[in-house]
Amino acid sequence: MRRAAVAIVKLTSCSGCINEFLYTIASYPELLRSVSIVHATEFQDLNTLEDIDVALVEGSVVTQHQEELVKEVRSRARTLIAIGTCATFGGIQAGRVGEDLRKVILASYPNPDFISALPDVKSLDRVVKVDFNLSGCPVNGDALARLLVKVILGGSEVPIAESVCSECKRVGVLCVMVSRGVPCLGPVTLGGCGAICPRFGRGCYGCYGLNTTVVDGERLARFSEVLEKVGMGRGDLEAFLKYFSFSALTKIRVRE
Amino acid sequence: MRMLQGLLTRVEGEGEVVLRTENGKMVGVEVRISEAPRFFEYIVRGRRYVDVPDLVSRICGLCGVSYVVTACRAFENCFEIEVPEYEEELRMAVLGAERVKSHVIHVAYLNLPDLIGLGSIGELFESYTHLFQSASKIVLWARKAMEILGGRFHNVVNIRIGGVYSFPSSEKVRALSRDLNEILNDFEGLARFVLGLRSISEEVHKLRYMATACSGSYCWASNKLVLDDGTYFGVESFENYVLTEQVSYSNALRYRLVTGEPYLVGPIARYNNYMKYLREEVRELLEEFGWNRELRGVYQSVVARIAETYNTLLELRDFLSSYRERTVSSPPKVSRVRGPCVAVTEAPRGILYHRYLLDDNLRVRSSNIITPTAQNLACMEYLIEGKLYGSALDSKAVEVAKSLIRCFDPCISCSVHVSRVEIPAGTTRT
Ligand code: SF4
Ligand code: SF4
Ligand code: SF4
Repeated sequence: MRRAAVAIVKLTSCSGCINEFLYTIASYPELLRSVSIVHATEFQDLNTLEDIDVALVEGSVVTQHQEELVKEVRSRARTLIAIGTCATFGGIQAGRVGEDLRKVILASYPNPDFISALPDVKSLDRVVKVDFNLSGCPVNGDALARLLVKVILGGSEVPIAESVCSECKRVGVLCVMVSRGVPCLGPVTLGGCGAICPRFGRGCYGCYGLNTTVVDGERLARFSEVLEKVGMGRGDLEAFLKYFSFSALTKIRVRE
Repeated sequence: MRMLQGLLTRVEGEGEVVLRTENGKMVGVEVRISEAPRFFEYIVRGRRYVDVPDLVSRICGLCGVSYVVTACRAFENCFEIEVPEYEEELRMAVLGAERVKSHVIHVAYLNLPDLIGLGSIGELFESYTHLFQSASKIVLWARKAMEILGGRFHNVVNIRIGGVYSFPSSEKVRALSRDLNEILNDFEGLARFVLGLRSISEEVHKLRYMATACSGSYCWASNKLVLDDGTYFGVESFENYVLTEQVSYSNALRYRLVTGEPYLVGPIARYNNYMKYLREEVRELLEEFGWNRELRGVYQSVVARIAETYNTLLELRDFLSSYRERTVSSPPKVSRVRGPCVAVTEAPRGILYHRYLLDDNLRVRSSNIITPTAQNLACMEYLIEGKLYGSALDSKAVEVAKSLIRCFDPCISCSVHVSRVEIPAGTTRT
């Protein structure tokens, strides 16, 4: 069988998702035999980039250059998978969107004139057609490996509609919110991590992003009231949603 | 495995080194960081202090644990929170596992090709398959350790201000401990091979350096710092000892000592301060290969990385083999904050500094995060310039610049991505 050409592309991100992927495939030698990896971290590389079977893209789009890069990658890739919360929702860097850009820059740099930044932080699906969105900060490497095998074999998408709570039930974790009154975003967060935080005795802070298939503005508003009772204010919930679910917020608002 | 190897050398963001020339001779260097900034200092503004560690963890996919630990320690300092001993040990074990991962990736995949000097990475891999397999096994073990002790490989979830969220089950830790014996064998093979290489350069680099300061132990976390000339100071005055500069060609801030001199942080700075506190087994191994001496230049940082990794693996062995599940302490109650919240920790690449100012509601008003790579940028330029100034810019010069930079193990996303040397046409003025 011909090996599938898989391209790895990094946009604005921390490299954590790409590292997850690399070490997952390092522990599945079978997978290594069916893929060959090409790499495109920089625009120049595209000149040498052949047709791609699967492009794995980490990070969000914050520059013009990245927008062009990702369009180019899309045009050459049969399948494009957005990996990680930066790519699927915008990621933590979206936390500054909507704020005065000069103030944002001044918080980090003494001389704002040397720094150029655009006001927006875009998830991939706002720029190109994305075939599969696999969120998580970082993405679950095993889930990505399974998806990759499936894509190579020609499978199609099964949308995930589960929340972290279902995973708690499955692994038999005592609910931290019910048993100890610890604020937990698990009920509104996409499953896929295996309920890591509740398993370690803490609340979920939503790093896999909002589960928009089951949560709408109405439900989010009611959930926010529940959270408030256990000590997480609306402002803090909104901040977490901005960090890990930014692109979903244009569709859903926490209603007043 | 061959592919993994090729990739790791290339997983990088945007950065480049520009060598400027005049009449064909090198006259200057610019380490340019073009990676788009993510503005973390702004992002943590207005957040509750308890949420900060999980947010700053996202700055770096290579050393996120160092960020989490440093942020926790900053708040523990200003709230005067005592971390229970066993919880601190568990946190330090997660930090240790991250260090092992980071150092082994650098030594085996980035530095070794330079040291062995075979034509291509592919060739290197063919000839030294067993070494790469060992390296990969060690990294995968470290990943497992981070998952069991910290929750996952990136953005660990088990570290909080005041300690940890939970103690993992003894059963899981026992399995980790069992596997470590084999990992130690693998590591010794790799260590012996590297320490025995004749190609580790003796080139002397006269550099200032800074490390965290501990008395009587190899230092990974402390509220004191020390310079190479013996100057000690508390972490609260760190910003008085360094100058911050911003250059037009780079998205990363850079730092110098107040005297204007560049300074080095990281393995060499630590090793030269603390090598006598390495464990006996480590010192014996170093002695066997004649490395029980001060390291002279950045080319020798590979020796420090090997020594630190070995020491850390041995410490992890002790920690894991005597591990017992315990009950976690309850989250600290705080009311009043005493001064700014500051801390430094030794990340794999050197000192990582965090400062947070809180408002009356204990939310972040402002912050300053200074990464090891940002501190090393001025040194990189200084060394490249010192070595290449006035010389003809041929492909050999470019190789020299590249290999010098690789010795610093510049960090991927926190501040810089440098491993490519380029001479854009427009910058060659002849
Ligand atoms: S999703 Fe999280 S882990 Fe992945 S690149 Fe973004 S910040 Fe890093
Ligand atoms: S701990 Fe959180 S995720 Fe788990 S069941 Fe309770 S609310 Fe849901
Ligand atoms: S429990 Fe929530 S915050 Fe924790 S890893 Fe899973 S999705 Fe992320």
